[in-house]
Amino acid sequence: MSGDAKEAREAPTLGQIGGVFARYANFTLGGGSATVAVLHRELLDKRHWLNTDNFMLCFALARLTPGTNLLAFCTGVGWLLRRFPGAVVALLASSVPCTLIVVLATALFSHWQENHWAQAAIHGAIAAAVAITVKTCWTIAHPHFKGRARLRVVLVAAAAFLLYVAVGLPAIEVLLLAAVVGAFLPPVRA
Amino acid sequence: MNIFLLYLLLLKGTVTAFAGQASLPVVQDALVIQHHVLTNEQLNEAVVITRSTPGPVGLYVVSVG
Repeated sequence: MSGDAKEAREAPTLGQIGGVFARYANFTLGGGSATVAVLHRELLDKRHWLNTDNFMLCFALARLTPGTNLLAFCTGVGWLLRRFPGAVVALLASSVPCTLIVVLATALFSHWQENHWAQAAIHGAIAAAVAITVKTCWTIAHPHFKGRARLRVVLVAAAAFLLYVAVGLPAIEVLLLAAVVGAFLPPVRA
Repeated sequence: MNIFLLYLLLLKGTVTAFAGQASLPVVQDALVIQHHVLTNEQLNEAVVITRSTPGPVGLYVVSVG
């Protein structure tokens, strides 16, 4: 499926899982997509806890799950690493700290609203988050963007974008439609 | 507003959406238009706060709460 030849190493401890998710799922600006890009680097490239196929499986299933995709993704990764305990640790580690940050930020917002420097810093951070999000798109599409499959990836992505943005179809329907199209298309050699 | 009702309304928004901020129209309809417990400006502030802090953007519901 992918060219990634590296196999996942021995399962990490619950403490290691909690440490990674607490650090990278809570302190990455730019939302779920940006965090997935950072986790891709940490879980695959640096630690080799997962292989690309398992990472992509979690990512796809999280997209098909109602609610916050990132939390579903982290829970799925935790499950793959250490089953139920891993899923619980990953979910708690990736949700509790950032929830507390949001509560604190909301409480302080009225004060920050009048502060010119704080507003400028936030706008700068948002611009950087947009760039990281674009990189995430490439990270996800890259393994499939080879040979004759390139045109297919571009066409499916363009059609999904039009259906979601221009037609206003719900995201789940776009994803299911793409899955059906993918199932019926003949295989293409990269 | 009753805390349990708030929970149910936010739950309805999140379980019927498939991305962090996709629940926004449902939450806006429930809390701004139907129950009048939130203004559009406050909802916008909640989204901006969550966008400006690390973590999932779907946590704007925490700020709304």
